[in-house]
Amino acid sequence: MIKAILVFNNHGKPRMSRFYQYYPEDMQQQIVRETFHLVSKRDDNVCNFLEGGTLIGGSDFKIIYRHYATLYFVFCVDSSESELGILDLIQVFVETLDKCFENVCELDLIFHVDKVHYILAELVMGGMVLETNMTEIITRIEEQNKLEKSEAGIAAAPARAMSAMKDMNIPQKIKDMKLPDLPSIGNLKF
Amino acid sequence: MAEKSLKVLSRVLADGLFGNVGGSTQSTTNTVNVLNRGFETFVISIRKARSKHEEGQIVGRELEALKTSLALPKLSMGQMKDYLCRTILCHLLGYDVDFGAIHAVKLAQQGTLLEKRTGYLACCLLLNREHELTLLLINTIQKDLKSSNLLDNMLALSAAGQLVPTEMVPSILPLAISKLQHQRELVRQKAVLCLHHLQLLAPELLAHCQESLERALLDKDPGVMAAALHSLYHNIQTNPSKHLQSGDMLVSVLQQLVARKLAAMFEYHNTPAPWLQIHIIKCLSLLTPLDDQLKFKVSTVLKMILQRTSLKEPIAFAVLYEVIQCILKMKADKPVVDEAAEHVKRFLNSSEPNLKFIGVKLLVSLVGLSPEYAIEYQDMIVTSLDHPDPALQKQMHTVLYGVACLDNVEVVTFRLLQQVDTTSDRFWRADLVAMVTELVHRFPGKRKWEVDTLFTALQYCGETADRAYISRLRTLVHTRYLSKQSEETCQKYLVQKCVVALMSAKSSCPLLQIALWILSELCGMLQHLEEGRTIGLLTGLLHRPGTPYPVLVGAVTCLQSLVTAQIISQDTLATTLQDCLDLDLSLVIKQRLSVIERVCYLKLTLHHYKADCMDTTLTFLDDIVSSHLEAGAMPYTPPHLRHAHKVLCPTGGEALDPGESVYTEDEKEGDSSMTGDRLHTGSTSSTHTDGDRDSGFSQSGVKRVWGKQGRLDTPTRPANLEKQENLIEDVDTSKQDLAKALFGSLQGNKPLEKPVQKIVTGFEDNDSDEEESPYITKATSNPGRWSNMNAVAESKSDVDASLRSDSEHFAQDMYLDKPTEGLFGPGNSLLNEGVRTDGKVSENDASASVDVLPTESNTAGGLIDDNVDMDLNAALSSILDDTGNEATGLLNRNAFEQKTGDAVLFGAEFNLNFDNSLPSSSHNQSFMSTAEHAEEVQSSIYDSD
Repeated sequence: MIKAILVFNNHGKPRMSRFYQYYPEDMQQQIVRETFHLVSKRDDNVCNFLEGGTLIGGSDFKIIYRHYATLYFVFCVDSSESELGILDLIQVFVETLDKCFENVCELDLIFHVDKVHYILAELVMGGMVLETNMTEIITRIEEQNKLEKSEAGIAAAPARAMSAMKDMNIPQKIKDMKLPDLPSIGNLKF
Repeated sequence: MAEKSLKVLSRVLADGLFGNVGGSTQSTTNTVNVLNRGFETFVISIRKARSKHEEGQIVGRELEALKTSLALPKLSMGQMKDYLCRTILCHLLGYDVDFGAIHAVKLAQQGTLLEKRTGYLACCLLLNREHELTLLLINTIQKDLKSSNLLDNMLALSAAGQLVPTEMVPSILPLAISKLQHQRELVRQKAVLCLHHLQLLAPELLAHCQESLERALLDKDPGVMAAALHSLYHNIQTNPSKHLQSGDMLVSVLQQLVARKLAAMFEYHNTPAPWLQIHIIKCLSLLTPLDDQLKFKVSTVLKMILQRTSLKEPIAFAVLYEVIQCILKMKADKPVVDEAAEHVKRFLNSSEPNLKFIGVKLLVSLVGLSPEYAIEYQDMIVTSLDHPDPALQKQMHTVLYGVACLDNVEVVTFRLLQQVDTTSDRFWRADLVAMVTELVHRFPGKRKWEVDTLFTALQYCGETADRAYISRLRTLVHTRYLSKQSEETCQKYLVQKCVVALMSAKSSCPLLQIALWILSELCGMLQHLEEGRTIGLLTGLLHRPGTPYPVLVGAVTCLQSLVTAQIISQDTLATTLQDCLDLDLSLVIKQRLSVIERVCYLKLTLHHYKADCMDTTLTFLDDIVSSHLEAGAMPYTPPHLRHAHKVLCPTGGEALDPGESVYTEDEKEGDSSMTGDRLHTGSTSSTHTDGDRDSGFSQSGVKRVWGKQGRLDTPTRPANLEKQENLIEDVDTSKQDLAKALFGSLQGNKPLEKPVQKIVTGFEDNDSDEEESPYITKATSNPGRWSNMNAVAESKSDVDASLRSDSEHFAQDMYLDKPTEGLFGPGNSLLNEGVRTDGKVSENDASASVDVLPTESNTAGGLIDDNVDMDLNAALSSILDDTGNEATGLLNRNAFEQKTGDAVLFGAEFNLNFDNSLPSSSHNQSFMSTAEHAEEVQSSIYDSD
């Protein structure tokens, strides 16, 4: 299970945090600080895994992180998750953000606090990995946005929404879409 | 950077807040933009803040403004949404935003779609299951689950999984289950995960929908299936054998995945649905060890994956890792394992640090299966032990633990202890210490080395040592050094080490605990020590401020043993202890001290009664109980039955409430009014508890004396004891047999193991040039002479120079004379033992000879540790102490008419005669209750400990 997903910048300022297990507020801040402390002192040429933190789960606890330009994306998970799998999940998350925000940067995360959480909600639900297919995630987010747009005016007519939705069997339409190899985010500076 | 932020700002301005333009009607677009501007200025001002303090001020101002504007009566939902976004931002920065929670709930309830989504998001971030406002949200969740709009459904399902408190699960459950049949896979997927969360909360409520969850596994959408796997994985983890039948299904899915039957859109970097594969293999790895048929099927698929995997993408390695782990876990045939080992090589030889780390993890599992796989990587292992990355270093030490054998165990433990010293991670330290102890246990070497290693490990483990570890260590020490067969030189050395540990001010709590325990077991060895010093050693601990409770208990037990074994004279101790009684110590400690003090003062002679077993049935109390029952006393009723008893037996005003009566009779002392009714219910209640005992209470080494029908057999006590001793001997021999089997087979394997050991030791020799050799020479340069003080000091036992010389002197003191015959038996602590007198003893009968009775901890089996001693101790003394509390129950009422008020003489009052004729069975139950009550007290003390 994923216990927490944290995003902070090179100075340890939190940019997004989501805890799937309840911790009191001050504890949450402490976890962010400790994680930053652990992660920031690591070289770029060592592995992206850390085991056994003191705060979250004791010995049954792993930190898996990726460092992109100014941001650290950190997943705190228990021992049942696969390290390499989560590492690629972070990649999926970041690529999705990148798609949705057209070259994501640190500021996007602040200005669209809610939006980032919605994207994450499609990826992970309650600490369980929900969807790992990037095209599917993007489709869903677009789908939801469209639904909201159309429904806002016709809130009283859900039937129409349903038919609109049936129309949009998007997975088929974008089936042949090519995935980009790597996001350009790695080279971003700002 | 400025450029980029400008760009973003312009984009934000152009779009409005993401998705917002579309969501709001034309008329509100203007206000939304105004609001957005407010949000921007806020963000920009925070970014400009130069210090944490400045930021705090800005956020504080903003929060005040938010608080007032959120409370405004006529707030449009759009505005509310925007304010909540700001609140979320403040929350992210770590400020207190409790005031926002109620508005979040409101927005989730009243908003439509976009606003609702923000409302739910804020709820998820600001609330938790225990929060009181969550209850307000339940209604909204129910409404949204019933809604025909799938967005509402999805939001509600996500929130339900995270926020619904356990007691509200039933109100959500039917709605959530109905969503499993929803036509869209999006909703089904979330419903499955939501149900999984509810299942974790209240498994018994979801028992009936297991089937529908399992059906979700066969869903046509792979996403839903992946979600359902979470719940399956959890179920398999808790009870693998029950879910064996799902194995075939998983295998067939995996086969299809590997054969690329899934649409291309599910491929990620050329691997078909890798996360799904990982998950399935994880499930299978739990199932395969249970079923050979499944094992065969799984290994064919896994072989296929091994052959097909094109190792270019990291995600392919992720799948490969799971495959190899699964192969190793199910102990596949040698060719398959060998093939897997080939793939491990690809990980280990990779230049990518992540893959290398995973490779080392695999190596740990591989070595666990057979150490010979490590030979190939010996150079790497040796160099990686000092790798700059602590994570890798850690894994490598685990590998080292795996390759340990008789020949290299000294070097391995040395390295592990070195790591304990350098690491700051306490969990890792605890693991390392456990590993070292395990190695000493598995590969017995030179006694001196063993003792040194164990003591160093104990010193390091500090506060992380848990009870389980301590008791394991005790078993080890007891079987190896304290049994009758152990060499005396070894015991001497042990005592020496203990004394040094006690003298050092920096010894860790577990070290002191064990040292005190060993000293009380081997107290005969302290005979040649100056009396004052021995006492000083122990009372010093009592005087030292902040000594942990377990250490105090150990010290008192040790004092008791010394008194019992007559190592120290009672006069000296009595005077010393009087000082200690004035100290600020816990009640139990003080009580025990005063008991010892009284014993010394009254000059009671204590004889050791050899017993290896704790008599938890308290059989020695039989006679008192029976005699008093005969005299018309009321049988004991356990507290939890007293209420039921009242209902069962409505004898009107005449009969007191039994619960109450116990208390009142406690005070009245020996009021023996009872009715036939009561006797009846009393006995039924105790048969009931007897049944409980049948099912729950069993202890090896303790013979069961009482059954439902009364006493099981009627041997006289000594015969009984003999049997117990035999039993323990049996246990001992069976242990020896086990050891022989374990290590014999290891030696029998020599042809296979030999080359391994040879090579492994070979590489260590290379390595040891700079590190290990000093250790080894150190070990050999101090041969036998028990001159361990150097070693102790060098291995950081924090003995400063003066102390060291002192302790050397001390050690000399001890061993000037010939070896001593230990007077003590394994049973040694005074209070633990029942005490027997030859007859009624009046108060202050100083010449009362007190026999120590067999309630000593089961030291032979090491089953019961000192804390239990203490607990029983406390239980006994509280029974005897007439404090008027519940524990005194029956005994107080019945047994202590001639009160002495002197705790020491409780033994006299017991008047225990085991050779006496047995009590008639009609009294058994009441006695059982007493025993049980004592246990209850014991366990309550245990819990509060």
